[in-house]
Amino acid sequence: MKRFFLILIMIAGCKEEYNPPLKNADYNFLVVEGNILAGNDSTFVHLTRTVAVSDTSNVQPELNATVKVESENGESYLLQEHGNGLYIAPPLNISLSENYRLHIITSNGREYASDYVPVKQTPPIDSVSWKLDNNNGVAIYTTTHDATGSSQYYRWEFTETWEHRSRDSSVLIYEASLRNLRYRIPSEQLYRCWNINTSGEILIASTAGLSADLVYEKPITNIPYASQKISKIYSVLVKQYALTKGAFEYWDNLKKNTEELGSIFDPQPFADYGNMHSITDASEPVLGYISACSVAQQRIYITWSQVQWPYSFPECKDTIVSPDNIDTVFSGFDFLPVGYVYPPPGAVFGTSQECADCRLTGGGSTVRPSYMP
Amino acid sequence: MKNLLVIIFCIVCLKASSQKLFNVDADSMRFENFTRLIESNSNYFFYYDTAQVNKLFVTVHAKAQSLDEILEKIFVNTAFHFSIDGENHVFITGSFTIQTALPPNFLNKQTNKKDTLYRAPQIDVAANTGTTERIRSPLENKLFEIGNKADMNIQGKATISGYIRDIKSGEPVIGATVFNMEQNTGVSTDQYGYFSLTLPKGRHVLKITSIGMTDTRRHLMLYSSGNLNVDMSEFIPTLKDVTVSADKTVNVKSTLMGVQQLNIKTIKQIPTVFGEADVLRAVLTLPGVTSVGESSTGFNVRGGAADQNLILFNDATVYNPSHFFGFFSAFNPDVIKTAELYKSSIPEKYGGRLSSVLDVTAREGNKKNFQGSGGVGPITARVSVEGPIDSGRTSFILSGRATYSDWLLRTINNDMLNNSTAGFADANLLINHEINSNNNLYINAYISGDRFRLGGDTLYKYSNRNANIKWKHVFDNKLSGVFTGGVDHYQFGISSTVNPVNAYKFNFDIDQVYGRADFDYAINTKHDVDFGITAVHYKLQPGTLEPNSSQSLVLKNTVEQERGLESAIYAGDHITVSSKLSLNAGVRLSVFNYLGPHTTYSYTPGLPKEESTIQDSATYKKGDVIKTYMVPEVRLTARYSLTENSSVKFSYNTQAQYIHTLSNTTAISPTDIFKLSDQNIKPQRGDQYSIGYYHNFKSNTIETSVELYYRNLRNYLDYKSGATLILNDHIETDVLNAKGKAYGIEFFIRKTAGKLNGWISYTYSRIKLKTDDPLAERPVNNGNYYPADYDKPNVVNFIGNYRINHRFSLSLNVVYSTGRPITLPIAEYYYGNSYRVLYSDRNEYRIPDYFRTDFSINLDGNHKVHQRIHNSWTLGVYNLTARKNAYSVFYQSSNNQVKGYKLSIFGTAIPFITYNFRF
Repeated sequence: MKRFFLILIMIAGCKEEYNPPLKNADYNFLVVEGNILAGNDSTFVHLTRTVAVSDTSNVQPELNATVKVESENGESYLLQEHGNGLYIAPPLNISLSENYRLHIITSNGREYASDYVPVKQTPPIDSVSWKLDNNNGVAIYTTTHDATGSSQYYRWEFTETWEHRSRDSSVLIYEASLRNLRYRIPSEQLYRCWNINTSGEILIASTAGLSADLVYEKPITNIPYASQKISKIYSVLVKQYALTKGAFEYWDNLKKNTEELGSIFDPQPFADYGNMHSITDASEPVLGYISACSVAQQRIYITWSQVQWPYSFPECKDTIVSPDNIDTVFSGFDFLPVGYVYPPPGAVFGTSQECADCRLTGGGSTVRPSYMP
Repeated sequence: MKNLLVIIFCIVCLKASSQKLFNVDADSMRFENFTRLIESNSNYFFYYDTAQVNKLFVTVHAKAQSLDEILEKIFVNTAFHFSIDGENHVFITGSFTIQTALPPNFLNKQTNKKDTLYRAPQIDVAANTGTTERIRSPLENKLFEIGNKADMNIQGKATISGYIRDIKSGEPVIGATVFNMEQNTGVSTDQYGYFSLTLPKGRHVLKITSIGMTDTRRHLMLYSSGNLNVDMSEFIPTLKDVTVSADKTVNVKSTLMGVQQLNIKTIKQIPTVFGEADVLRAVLTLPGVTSVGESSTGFNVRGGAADQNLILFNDATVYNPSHFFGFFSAFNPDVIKTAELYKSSIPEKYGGRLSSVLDVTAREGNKKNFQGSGGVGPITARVSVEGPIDSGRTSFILSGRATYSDWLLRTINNDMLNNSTAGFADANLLINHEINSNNNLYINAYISGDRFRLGGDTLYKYSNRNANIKWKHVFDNKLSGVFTGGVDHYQFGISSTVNPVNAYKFNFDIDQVYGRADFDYAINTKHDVDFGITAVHYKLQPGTLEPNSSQSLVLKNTVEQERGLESAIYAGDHITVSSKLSLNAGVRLSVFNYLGPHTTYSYTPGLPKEESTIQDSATYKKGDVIKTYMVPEVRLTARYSLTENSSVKFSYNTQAQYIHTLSNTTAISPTDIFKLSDQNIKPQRGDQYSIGYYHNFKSNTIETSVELYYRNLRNYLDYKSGATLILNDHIETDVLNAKGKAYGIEFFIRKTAGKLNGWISYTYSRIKLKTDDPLAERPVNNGNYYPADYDKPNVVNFIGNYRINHRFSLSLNVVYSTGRPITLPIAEYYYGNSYRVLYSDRNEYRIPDYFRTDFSINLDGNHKVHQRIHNSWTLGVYNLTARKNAYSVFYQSSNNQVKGYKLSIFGTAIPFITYNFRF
């Protein structure tokens, strides 16, 4: 049903940004996000507060809370606060046969807990694959299965990293304050940039209606044709979580309510608060669903040579700067020095900033992440 | 309304004298009315110029006096003269007396030769102009003698019945009024053009009127019960400008209330988005009818849900009345004759839905000539042929319609839409056969198919299939019956093959087989009884999920079939208490049996119905009755005439509904499934009180009305948050019982004749729902009343058509309504790597108000009667002001942020052009 509206847009319809007048109430509900992770992964819990819809500021972190993972047998593991509402526990080595919950006491003394949840064993990812289609670009898929048939409900997250380069690699740097042109040290390079993007889309699937617990080519993300993402090398890390039925329904509801509205056959949106409860005041809404599971992950790389799609650099203004003009030209913002013109003495090849500084043409950081070649 | 008359009329026949004696008590009575009274109680016949007697009022009190004496009294001290000839013709003249004695032999000869009398054309004057003279057809001046003269017993009553037909095509005229002024009584023809009217024996004038037809009248001498068939001719204004006024008093005189009839002419004048005349779009312009938005043909009547309307097409139930995302209705305009919407006093004949009955009637084929018609629009093309099969007793219509819309999608330079297809086709076949004057047979078949695939992914299909056969039998003049049998089928399917492992097809279908016998028994002038029996057997396949490729791992999953039998007996009486007061009183006893084979679940009493509270399951065999509901329904209407042109009406009625649409979407969608009432899902119940005032002005060319109503709804189905409706073996765990109250007031002004015609209506109405399930864990909005999705308090509709000349007319359509309620978020938070919103109370907000203006120009080709093809063009603009009316307002999270959006279906003015032809 979701795509019904597209045909209407085609006819004449339109979707435009619109901010309806809302009653400005600040409910300030506690939001608990996190997974109790089994195995060698750290458990992260993020505590925040809701803000008003019209509020453009970021959500407020909940600080100075006491956050514990507790088992039904009474074991308890404390999470350390790492600022900005983030609470982290080192790998917990929790038992797959026990039920765990999250227990929180906030700085104002209010107490919250999740339901006890079983620990799901996540099967390994069989493959992360991709297909190139000249119209749609590169589609990335995940395939997984569970021979025991006990997983059935899955959620994925992905983080993509890609390297993109500027046209020219500048080996020179002009220090305006010193009126000095010198060679760059490696950490000052502007030629290679790495971008990191984490998925905000809820990716879930269920195999409950199938004869085998097999997820075949679940679409994870799509890279548009000729995208800069695959201009050099692209990497995606897919994390897989097995869910309980309850957790799956929570994520499914969240997806329907926050990502899939806008068709012509919309259901009524509704609130699914999840499995967190206030112990202090049962009527106080708390948002979030706590699951417990192990994590499976897989990373793949796609290089430009595998897709070979057209990718163009911006238009560059090139210049050869005689030694006398170096200060005049490079103290401005138009040109970056690239290198000395051969043969010497001293003329410098310069080009537009965006042609030698990758940060200007695709953003990102000039520091290479360890997993990128 | 000066002639507040009290008249006691009594005829004394004195055998000794050839002259009749009259008892008359008249106070300020119009002279015309006086002459009618005399005419209807004797064989005197008056000739006069209406214009001259326009201002003449009669006050006369006479006992056992002859007409001579009475007229003497009346005309004393006036300029009028009168004369009576040997044939009892009375001539009223202004300044001279007609000599009636001159041609006596000639007149006598005439009488002796023939049993009936031909008279000189009567001069009649149209009521409102007072000057235009018109010569009536000879038939109108002929005296029809009905029945056996030997049976003449002036004291008794007799029933006259027959068919009203179109003289040109032989088609029945539906809803024509056969009215007898003297008795202030009349009936409307049924969908076969049949009427039956009981009158005192003696002389009568019947006036026959119908919208779009030339009024006609018949003089009759009623000796005993008999037949009278009347042919009416279509109203074709001559090219000279004439003002037409007709006596259409149905809205004031009829006992029905909350009934709106649209004929195809009116429907064709209403501009629609793709230029094709559309019954459902026309219905949406009536007061009390709303919809959730532009791309939905689901309509809401007086606060009822879209599934609470019974949509009948020649008695076949059409489960999905829309095509192509709701932009077309299932009804091909070439075969439609009328559409009648009952929203308040629903006749006892109908049942099974809470809110309304939309009765769409098809035409009958031309019995005299072969002809065809069709049209081409931007998306569809249609053609139909009709004609006689044998010597004027049998005729047929065959028509078809199909889209050629895929080209539109292909022109869009977007890969997803290039892979899309959307289209529909439908066909109608109608055959009617006159076995003899007392037996008629009607065969009706309809098939439709829709399919669409968006983005080359999932394919959606749905189809209606209906067929029925009707036999109308006239037992005698008083009793007639219609026996109907038929099958209705609806199915939809969703399939996908994009992922070989998950390739699936899902199918739903519903089959109903029905039979009904409806009788009409005109006992006497005071009682007209209808009664009958109906039965519908339902078989639903609520859902089958199957693999759709050889590699598919999808497990076949079938929800158990459902069967039910809905039967009813009904009886109603139309009682004429006095000339002012008449009643319609009816009862309908409906019985619903939920039938096996089926497995049912019972739940722990006192706990919410959930999978975890299933206590027991029981398996029933085929034919077992699992649950029976019996509901007596009341249908009551009363009409009290205040004056000749105004009346008040009251109605009360109760309804029960045993089949429900399961849908948690705001707009009804083609993939909604249906569910029968069972041991856990109770029948929906409703009742409605309404009161109305009706007043006609300007010789009934302007109809006005105000109707006020209050409704209660019970066992309305609402859904738990995140309810699973598809492939659910125990729907009761996902639904909540709700109750509703709806009330409103509807103002309506309609101009039925003249160059400018159309209507304007204003409706204020509310519909509120409340979860009243004591076991509901999380009642919607904490168990408080909340507005339903289609609660639109203020609605204004203007529909106008202005005829510039006979080939050229303009239509304008203006719609305003309050925006529908919508649920908007109360808070924003960060979760799952994105900002998201949190919703709370349902329908707390409204989308912006809706306003739209449509305009069209209708151009007819030349009006030569004899030409091969008659052409007409309709061109216009939908949404003339290009207002971006909101269809919905929603928030969407993407790219780690959340934004509010407004979706408009038509964000601009849409021009359209349609070509129609007739040959």
